[in-house]
Amino acid sequence: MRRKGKLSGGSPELSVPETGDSAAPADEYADEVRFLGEARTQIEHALFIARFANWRLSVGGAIGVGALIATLYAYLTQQFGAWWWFMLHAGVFVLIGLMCLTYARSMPGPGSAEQRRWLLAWAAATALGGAATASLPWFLPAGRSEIQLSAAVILSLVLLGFVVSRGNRLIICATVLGHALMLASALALHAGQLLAAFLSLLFAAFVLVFGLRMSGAMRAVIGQRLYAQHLAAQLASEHGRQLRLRQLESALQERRRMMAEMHDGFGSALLTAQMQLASGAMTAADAAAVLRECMDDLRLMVDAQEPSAGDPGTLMGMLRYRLQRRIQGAGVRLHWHMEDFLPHGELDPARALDLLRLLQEAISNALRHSAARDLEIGLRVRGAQIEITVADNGAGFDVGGRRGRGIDGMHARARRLGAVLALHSTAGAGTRVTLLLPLLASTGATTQGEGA
Amino acid sequence: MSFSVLVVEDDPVFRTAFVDAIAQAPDMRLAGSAASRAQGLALLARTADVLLVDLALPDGSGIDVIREAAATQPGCEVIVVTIFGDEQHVFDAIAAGATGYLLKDQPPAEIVEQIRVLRAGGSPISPVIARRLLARFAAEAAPAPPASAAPLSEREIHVLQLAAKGYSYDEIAALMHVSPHTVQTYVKRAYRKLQVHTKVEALAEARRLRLLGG
Repeated sequence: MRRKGKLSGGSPELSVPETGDSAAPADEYADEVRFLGEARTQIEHALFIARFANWRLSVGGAIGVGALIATLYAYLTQQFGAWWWFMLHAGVFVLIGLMCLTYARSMPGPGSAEQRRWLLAWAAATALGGAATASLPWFLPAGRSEIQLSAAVILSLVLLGFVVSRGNRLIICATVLGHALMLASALALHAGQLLAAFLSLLFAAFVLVFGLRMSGAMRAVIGQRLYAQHLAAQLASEHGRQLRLRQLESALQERRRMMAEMHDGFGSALLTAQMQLASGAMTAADAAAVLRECMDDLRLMVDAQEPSAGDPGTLMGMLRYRLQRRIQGAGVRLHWHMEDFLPHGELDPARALDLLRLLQEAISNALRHSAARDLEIGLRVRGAQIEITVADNGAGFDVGGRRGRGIDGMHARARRLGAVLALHSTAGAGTRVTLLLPLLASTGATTQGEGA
Repeated sequence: MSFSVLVVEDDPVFRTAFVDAIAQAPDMRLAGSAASRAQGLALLARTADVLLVDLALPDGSGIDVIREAAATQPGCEVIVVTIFGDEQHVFDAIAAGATGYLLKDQPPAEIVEQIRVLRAGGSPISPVIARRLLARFAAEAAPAPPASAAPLSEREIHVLQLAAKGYSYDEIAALMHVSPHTVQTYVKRAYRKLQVHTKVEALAEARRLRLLGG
């Protein structure tokens, strides 16, 4: 029965912990305290409603059982006493029925003052009902002990039956109290059966304890259900909050990255061109070339945003598609080798742009500086990694000596991609750029924003 | 035998560039040019072999012009002209009936050359368009596809898969042991199927709405 766990201290019901004794955690537990307070009200309400939901059956049953008992005793005693009792008993239960009917019309909210008043009135009415039921011995001939004792037994069983059919504590206490006092007094004062009066009180006490236990168990069950709901709601809201935070953060990071790309990319190229054009240091053909490169940059950024281009294979395809003209224009023969592989997750736009730019830089270097005849670009799967290669048979350069801005940028992008970048170059034999990119298990937001 | 070209483009710089390029090509003649959606739709009263359409027109979308051309002139090759070749717009245009697209910033000689290729039955494809086509048809293969819309054939899927990885038509042809022309045919067929799919979907949607609307 004592499965209340966190819900209750030692008492058989939910108790609100004292918040005064420790100041610091009070705030931390404010939510719990509020929940416990609310849960208490909700449990009372749930029990009340459970009891109330079948009031028609209860009232009808009480009157029906009363009629049965009255008939039995009218037959046994051949007197009208039992009928008088029945009228009293039925009258009280009709009153309770009318009360319930009125309550059903208004249905005040759980925990409201109005509901509390109703609850008290209802408890008083059931106490009266219990007393009316238990007053039967008063209407039976005092001298016939077998009649009196059988009535006491029947009435005690009726009480047990009522209490077992669930209810909240106040109702149970009121009913048992009204019933027990009336029955005991009738047995003692009217029939002179002192032992029977004592036994009926003893039995009523047992019924009370039993009823309260049952009620407590039910409270615990309802409480646990409420607590589970409360925890679930708390988890859900916390999860949603974190998700929103993460989305916001990654959106901000991405925006910062895009701004940096624009700033360092075509932004500065356009500015340089503008100044050179203004000072007459640039020809129209040069300007057109700069603008064309800016346009290519812009297209790469648009491509990186494309949701169906997230896997490295399609991204490289787009890069080739965009750079095709420049590669052909440079008179370089392109060898394209793409191994079959199933896309494993997708790169988010910022990382897609990192990959595109890194490869663009490698290709541009090959076209610009190496005077190569052949350019080989390939993708293959190496265990848990994708190996992307850009290799030319041009002039090559001293990897250790020249660390231009472009190459630093390539390394920075590789770091952001969580990839390993290797440059091998031999004078006269060409350059090979190899990027080892982990297969994408997820698009996780593990990247650190660098541009700001 | 020269073929006729219609141009629908609101930007005067580009329109002039297209018109001049066409005028200088010995095998093409200009059937007319329009600067808005309304003018473009009116222009479709004349028949043409090739239609160049910009999507962003001042009074509406060029998609409407494409759809109208596809409906009334099935023999006409529709080409979208676009600044970025951004894939959503191109994809929508193909779904409406376009079979090719041009980037606006190409030199006139290249524009003319691409019109010739398209006229000869070639359709360009970008890796993202290929990827999208595959995704579109894969998504529809799972639940019962619309009865009258054909799915992609195995070879069409293969061509699109290679195109999605950046292979050129010549390379795809070599890898599949077919002629480049056949590869073009597969791509064009995939485009047509997308158009049919879109139309069937639109019809089904309209029917559903009518049913729901009572």
